[in-house]
Amino acid sequence: MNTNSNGYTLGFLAIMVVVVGGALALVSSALKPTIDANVLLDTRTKIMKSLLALSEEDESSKLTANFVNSEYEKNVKAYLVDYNGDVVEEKIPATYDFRKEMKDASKPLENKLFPVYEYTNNGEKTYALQMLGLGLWDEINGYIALKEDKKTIKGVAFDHKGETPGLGAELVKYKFRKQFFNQSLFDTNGNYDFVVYKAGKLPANGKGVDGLAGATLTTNGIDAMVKHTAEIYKNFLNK
Amino acid sequence: MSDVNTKKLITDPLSDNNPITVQILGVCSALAVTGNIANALVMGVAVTLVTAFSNLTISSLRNYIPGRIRLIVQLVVIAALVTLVGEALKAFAYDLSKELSVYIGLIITNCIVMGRLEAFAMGNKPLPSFLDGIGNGLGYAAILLIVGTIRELFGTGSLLGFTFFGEEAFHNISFLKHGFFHAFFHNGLMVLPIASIFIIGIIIWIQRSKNQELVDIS
Repeated sequence: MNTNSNGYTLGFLAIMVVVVGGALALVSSALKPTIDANVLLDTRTKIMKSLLALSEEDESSKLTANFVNSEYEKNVKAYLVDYNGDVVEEKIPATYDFRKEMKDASKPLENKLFPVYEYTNNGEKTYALQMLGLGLWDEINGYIALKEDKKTIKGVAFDHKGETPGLGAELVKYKFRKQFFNQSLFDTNGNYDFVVYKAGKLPANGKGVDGLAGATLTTNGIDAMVKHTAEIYKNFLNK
Repeated sequence: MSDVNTKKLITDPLSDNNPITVQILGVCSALAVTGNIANALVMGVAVTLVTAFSNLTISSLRNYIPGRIRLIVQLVVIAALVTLVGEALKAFAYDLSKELSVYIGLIITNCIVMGRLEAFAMGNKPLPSFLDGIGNGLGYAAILLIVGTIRELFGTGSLLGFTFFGEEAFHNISFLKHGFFHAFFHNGLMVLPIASIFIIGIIIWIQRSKNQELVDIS
């Protein structure tokens, strides 16, 4: 057989496309439920991490898949608020995508919807707000949980797509996150008063979080992200 | 095919024909994913699987692949296998897949894979090709592990996430709490991909000073 003829080449390509495409589609649809469950668990773990603000030992021992899912389903109420801080959707629709909503340039901020995760424990409420920002190489994101006064930080959880391991990627570490716990985002007059400062450069009022050494741009990105979150949720926080 | 040859297919790429230090292929990912041992290990396993099975597939089809489109066919096979590995990681080791993110996809452009297809699988039977793929994958993984171990130990003071050096080391064992293990400062350079260049360079130097035949004097 002449394997160099045009007909043979085209035929070979056609069969290859069908076989490879079919195999990939099959695997992708077979694994999709598992992957979706992983993504959902990852998101819920981050939300619970910020809401619970556990100690480092508890975080690694208690936050199992079962615990996260049962605690989330029992005690977390997720809803969407508009820019005025009013609840517009009692449940977050499956079609809602925070990332898309924030990046949609055609929609002014006043028309956007923002998710809130309300956690009730012993009658006390904690609110987790979603964050999105830019690190050095790519997107950084996470959740910031505020106590019932909607001013004091309960806990935070961060994630990133491509920060430098050992430098910017350290933002996920407990050592960095615990600095946020129990700090207030606002001063006594209700003005935004919080900073993630460049390593070692403590602001005069002594408030804020010491940034990541060797990762100035990631540090600035986190600072801007927290500030932006306080800005877009400000009417909700003032209610 | 004699037994000696079969053995050489696996052992040669581990030393005298190492894909990274001798063939100088796949250096990019060796710089990027060797910040810690876990990443290096998963990447090594992933590349070994892709190289072995793409070699096997291409070698089985080698008499039927039209010469003019052979590179396209090779790429399709590699890309399909890499996609499979990526999906499997997302399903069964989600945290690792998040950490390795783009690098899994970039196995497609890892020169080792296509280099072995062109150099070996197109001209040899399926079984030797499969073994050649495993050997080269292991040779790649070996270098990644050496670099990963050095970088994790001196960059963050830990091995596989367990801290050996620095202020957090042995913080609950009283007689080790102070002294030697605490006097260590993490080396920031080791955290950056640049450290790998030096480490791989030193490995190449040592290897060539031991085996003069590898030195290219042309």
